[in-house]
Amino acid sequence: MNRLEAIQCVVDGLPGDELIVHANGVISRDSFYCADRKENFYLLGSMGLASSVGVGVALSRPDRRVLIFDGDGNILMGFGNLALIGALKPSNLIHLVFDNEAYGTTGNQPTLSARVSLSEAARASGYLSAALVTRRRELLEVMPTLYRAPGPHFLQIKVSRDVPVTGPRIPYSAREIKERFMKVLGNRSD
Amino acid sequence: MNAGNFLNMLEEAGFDFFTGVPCSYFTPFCSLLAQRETSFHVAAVREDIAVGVAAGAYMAGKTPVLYMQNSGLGYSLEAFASLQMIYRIPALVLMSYRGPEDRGWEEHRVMGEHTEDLLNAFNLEYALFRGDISDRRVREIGRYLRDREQPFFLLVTKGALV
Repeated sequence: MNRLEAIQCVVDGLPGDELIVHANGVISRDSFYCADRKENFYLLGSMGLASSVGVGVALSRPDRRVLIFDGDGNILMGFGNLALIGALKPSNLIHLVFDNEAYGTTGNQPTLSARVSLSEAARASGYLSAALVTRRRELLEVMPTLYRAPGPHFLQIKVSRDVPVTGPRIPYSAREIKERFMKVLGNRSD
Repeated sequence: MNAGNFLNMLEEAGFDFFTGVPCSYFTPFCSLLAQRETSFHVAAVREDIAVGVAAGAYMAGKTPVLYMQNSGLGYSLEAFASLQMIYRIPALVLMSYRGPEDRGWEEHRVMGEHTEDLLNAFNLEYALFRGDISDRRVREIGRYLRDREQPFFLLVTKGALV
């Protein structure tokens, strides 16, 4: 399963109007390519902070389910986020990591996730569930269980480095991304 | 200024979400925050993570305050640049100023000398906070945040909050 297939699989199985906070780079671009939803927030930069933004949203809006689409390089850069989420335990948060063991946006230089278990780190940090899947069938089976049980959940999804197509760069300005996301949350920034 | 009075002023001006990393200058402020039930408080693990949490909270309808030492400015400047500044996300930043007036700490010397240079270089608005601030000034800052949608820094000097 490559990253695009994994993201497509999760997006196709979304129960409804879940908010999704996306890590920068190819994670955002692949998800945009699958479906550009108004509930999507894309980080253009700020590597390592997708989960920080996601937990800020989740804590402030416990009535909404929040997904984080993260990458292995992002998790490793902002490792303290695992401790923060594991300690605060927002029950409406599902943290997905599309783990290709590489910095995919910058030329596939290897990350440490081939040698360090991200899901074990999440489990030790206090996530209510933390699992690793490697096949599309497993991903299809496990996602509905995450929507049923209170979180925070962590799911490490191993993906290959094959890139069948590259999604376009996000065509919106940062301000447009924010305004659309705030509008869907019923907040205006003006 | 009494930390509790300052916290009341902030809440009256609409601030309702606090996140950051402690500094000894903020000891009374942080202990009050830890027991506070009228505002949300997230004790973060790094300053840049706090900046990300505050950005998420703002988009979800909160009015955030960040607190950190100026040593955290180095860690968080990229986060301010690539989140708050380009997405136009406001935040009041209380930054303890281990600066020219607080000598004798070698680890704070370089950042202390250049804190204001860095804020100026990034066009980030700031003011010194020496322990005296009016309700009117706090409301003015609130208006700045709403109108400009950028962070505003209060550089908190030693002993300003007790």
